[in-house]
Amino acid sequence: MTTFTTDAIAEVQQLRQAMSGLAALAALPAIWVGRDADYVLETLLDALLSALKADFVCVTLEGPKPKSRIRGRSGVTPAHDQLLRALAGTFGDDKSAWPPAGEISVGADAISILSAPMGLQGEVGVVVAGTRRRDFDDETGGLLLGAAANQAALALQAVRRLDEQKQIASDLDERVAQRTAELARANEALRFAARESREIVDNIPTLVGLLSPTGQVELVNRQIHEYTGRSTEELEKWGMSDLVHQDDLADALDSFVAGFAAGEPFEIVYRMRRHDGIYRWFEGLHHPLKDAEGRVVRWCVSCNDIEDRKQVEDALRERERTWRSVINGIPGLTATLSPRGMVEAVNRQIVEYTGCELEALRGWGSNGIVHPEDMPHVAEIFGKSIAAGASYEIEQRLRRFDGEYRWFSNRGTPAFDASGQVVRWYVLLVDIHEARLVADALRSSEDNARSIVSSIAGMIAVFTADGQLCGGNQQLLDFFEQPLEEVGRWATNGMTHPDDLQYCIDSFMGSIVSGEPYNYETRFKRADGVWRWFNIRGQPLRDASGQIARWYGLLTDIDDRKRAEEALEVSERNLQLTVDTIPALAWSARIDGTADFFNRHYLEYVGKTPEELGGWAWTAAVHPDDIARLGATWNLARETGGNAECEARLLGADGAYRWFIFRANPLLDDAGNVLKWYGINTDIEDRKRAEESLRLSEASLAEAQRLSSLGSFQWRLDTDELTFSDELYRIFEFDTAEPATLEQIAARVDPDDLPLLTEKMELARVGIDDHSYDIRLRMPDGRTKHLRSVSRSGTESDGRRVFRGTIQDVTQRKLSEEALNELRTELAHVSRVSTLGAMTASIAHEVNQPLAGIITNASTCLRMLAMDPPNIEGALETARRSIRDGNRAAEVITRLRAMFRKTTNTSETVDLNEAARDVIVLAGSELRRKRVELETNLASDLPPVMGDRVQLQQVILNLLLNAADAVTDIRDRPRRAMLKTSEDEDGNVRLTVQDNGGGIDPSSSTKLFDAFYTTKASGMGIGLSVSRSIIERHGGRIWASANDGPGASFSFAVPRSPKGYNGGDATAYSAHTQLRPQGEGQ
Amino acid sequence: MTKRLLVTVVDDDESVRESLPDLLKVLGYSVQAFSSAAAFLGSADIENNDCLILDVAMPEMTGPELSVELRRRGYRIPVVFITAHRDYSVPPLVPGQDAVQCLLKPFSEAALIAALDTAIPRN
Repeated sequence: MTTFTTDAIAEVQQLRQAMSGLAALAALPAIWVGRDADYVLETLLDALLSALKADFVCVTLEGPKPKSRIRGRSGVTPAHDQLLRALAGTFGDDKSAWPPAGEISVGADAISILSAPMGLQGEVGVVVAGTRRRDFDDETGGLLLGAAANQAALALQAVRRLDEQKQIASDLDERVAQRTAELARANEALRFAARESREIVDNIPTLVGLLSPTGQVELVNRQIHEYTGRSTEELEKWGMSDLVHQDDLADALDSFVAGFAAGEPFEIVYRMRRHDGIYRWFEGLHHPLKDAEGRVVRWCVSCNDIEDRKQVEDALRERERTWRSVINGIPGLTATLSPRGMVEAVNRQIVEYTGCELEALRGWGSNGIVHPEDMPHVAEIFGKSIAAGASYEIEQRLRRFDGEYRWFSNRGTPAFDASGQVVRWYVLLVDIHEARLVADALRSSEDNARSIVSSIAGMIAVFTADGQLCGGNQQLLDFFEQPLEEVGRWATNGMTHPDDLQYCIDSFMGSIVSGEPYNYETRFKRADGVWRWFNIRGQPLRDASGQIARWYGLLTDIDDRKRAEEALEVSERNLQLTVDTIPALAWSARIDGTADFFNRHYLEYVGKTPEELGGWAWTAAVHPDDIARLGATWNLARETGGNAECEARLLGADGAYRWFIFRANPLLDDAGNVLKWYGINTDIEDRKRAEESLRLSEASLAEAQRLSSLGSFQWRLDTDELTFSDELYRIFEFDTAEPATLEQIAARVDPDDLPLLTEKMELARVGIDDHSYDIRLRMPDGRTKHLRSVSRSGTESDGRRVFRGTIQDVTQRKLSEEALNELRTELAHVSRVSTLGAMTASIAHEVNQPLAGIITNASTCLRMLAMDPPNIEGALETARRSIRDGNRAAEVITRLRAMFRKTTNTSETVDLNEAARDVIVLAGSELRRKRVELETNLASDLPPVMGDRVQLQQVILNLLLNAADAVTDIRDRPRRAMLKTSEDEDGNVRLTVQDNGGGIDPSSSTKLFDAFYTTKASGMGIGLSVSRSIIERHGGRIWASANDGPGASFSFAVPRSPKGYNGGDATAYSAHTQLRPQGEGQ
Repeated sequence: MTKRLLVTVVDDDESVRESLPDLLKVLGYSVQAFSSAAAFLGSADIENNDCLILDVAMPEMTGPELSVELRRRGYRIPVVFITAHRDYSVPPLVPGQDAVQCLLKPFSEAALIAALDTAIPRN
């Protein structure tokens, strides 16, 4: 504003223009009355263009017939579609949300825009004015535009209503004209082709007739005659006959008369009597056939059998009536809304209820008529429904005139025109307050019931009367983890175990058909795939008339019980199997002793059926010799009620008897009465045979003992209880009537051997095992018995230690052995003497040599003493030499005497080296005489041996002399012999004499030690034989072997002296015992 | 002064080598003793011996063998054999040759003196 005057003038001009525009606009409604929308729009555009001084004005209408008009000055008005695109592009598609003022660009031009919605929410349309002017007065323009928009909206709504009515009328006219034309054509057709028509009419599958304009029957087709069974004349009098059901007759006549009077198509619905007296519903369609002038010339009646449809309709109508009565029972509040949701009209009840007039009601969105809490919900549902053109139903609270909110059901249904556009909303508000409260209470109560149902342990299924699943508790759904619909397909979807399915279906459907409760068991597959057993019980729920309304099924998980049952079954089966499998004949018998059960083994053994064995028939298989004893035992047991046991033979299926032990035990009741007998027959044939064989074996053992003078005994270490065999009693000459005792034995044992017996018994008691020793008995009459005892410890089955052994009477053998020993000793002696005899010359040399020294020394001594002066010194020396040589001679004599001595076998510790040295001394001169060089190689630390020294020396001497003989013939080399001793790897002491003579013939090496075998020209051939017997008596052995070089070696080995009882081996011990002193009586 | 006669004793038996030389010395002879034939043959003046007393049964070389060997070497020395073996075969004594007598052990003093007197005739 640069100057006040100019501004003021401009403002006054503007105001004047605005007032002028406003007046023009205010006049518009007057000229719009009765005009159509186009006229309204055109005049509105003209008025606005001039009033606003805008470049252009554009009106866009919404609704069933959207249209848009633009009016503007040429040159500055944009293209219509270009403008609409620019508007939508700048302000959005929702025209109701366009701003009152703004700016858009059309092409290169910036255009100022004013806009105003038509209708409250812009539901009628929008008015837009635009100008390139910078000084576009938006304030005044907006005011004008808004006023014009309101005027126009009201006018256009009126126009639209008018249009609707016109449209309906026009549609109706159109249809009537169309129908008329059709009928005319039909009439024409009838007229031109009556004959053909008649045939067609007679054959079309409906009842058709033609009536005169006054209602006279002119023609009916065959179907009418056939259906009614009446003639044309009879049909004509339908108004006075029973052709039409008497209940429908009055209405039908009224309609008929009215319809004919109106001359328009009409319908009558009535029941028409069939020839058999049955009434069926028909719909009679009456069409007037008119001539060109519009006069009715004939009526065409077609009667369609609507009996079936009627029945459906009746049902529908019944339901509708029920519904209507409910609706009628509730005070109804109704309203109509515009397609955009604007409240257009309300009924009186709404006004009365709310205490608000229409204007106030239109503000329901914010004035609290609708409960604020419900508002968001209502707005959302309502908004969506209006936008989509779909009916809605909302429960909401509505404020009463007194301020109290009550619950209403708010239903809105759109009415559409032919093109599918919503033209109006019909709203019904029903007070459901009480119902709602009741429903709330019910819901809460239902929730309780549901929670009970949900929390009970079982699964509950609800079925319709025909068996369709229609409900189930949470457990049911949880178990399968499937929706209810899926659970309902239990018979086909695999959730019922295939093995049970047919049975389930039969049981379930059987009950559905019969109405009887069902109760069966089946397996269902749990969501995790595990099958579980269920008990299914179903009970029908009947309504008051006794019809089944529902089936209630309770599914109880009995899997654990079922498994227990199965386990029990298996256990019983096992029991049966056990009874049949135990390796014995099992049976049971009644109290009277008759048998009533046999296990499989029994039947198989005797090869009979239970029938063939029942009662007393089983006794047929008992051996005739045993039947009396078995019967007596069995009878006694039954009399006393005690256990029975008897051995008897049973005939097997193979025809052979086998021994059995029959055992029967009674089953007693609490009072001790026998209820039943159970028995087991165990095969003891093998035992019997073993017993028999044992008996025979014992007999033969006793015989063998008697023949071998061998008795056996058993000695319990803990009780000193002795068991003697018969033969042992005989050996000890005890009275068989009395048990043998240790005291008795001690009295019999030779007093010299008592320490031995005591020692052995002590060893036995401390657990030293394996005793083998000889002992003598001194019988009362003075006889001596030689016994050999072999025994060892053992353990009884009860764990007690026991000594068992045999004692053999070896007196005869002992005496023989002693005689033999004596002979052998004699032989050895003879042999020895003869050997020594052969050595006489050599032995004499051994003696003469020292004798020569003695005599010479003695002579010298005498001469020295006789000298003057006597040589005392020399005499003493020579005397000493004499004594020395005398001793030397005496030793030789002593050795000789020993060798000649005839001794019995003695046992002493012998050092073989020492013994050998003595022999070498004795044989020395013999060897020298034969010019044999003897090398000795005696082992140091040689262990001693036990034996007879002289006899061992005899062997050594024998070997030495043999070696000397073996080398006598050697001329070309020194004659050599070697004597060596050693301890061999077995712990034996070995002595070998080796020569380098002619050797031995290998073929004769085994005969060398036989008696009277000799390779020498002189000699008897008993030397080596005697040597062998001596060595063998010492527990050793003697052998010959060829040398690697010339000559042969003769060796013997004898056991080293035992170091004690534990140290010696059996051989050594045996040798020791053999060499025991044999008593003084020898 | 008359020179003592030399008598040599060869015997493997020590007691003889101890006792016999003492007796011979008492009897007025000079005496040598050897334990084997070989030892004697290895000694110095064999030819100075007036008489030899040889054991018959000696290892290696016997008394008779030694006397044969001495004769083979040209010595003519009278020999008295001594032996403990009664049955030992003594070579026949040839008078005028070396061996004079064979004494069996044990022998007496008189028998010894007699044998020596025979072997060494007194002038």
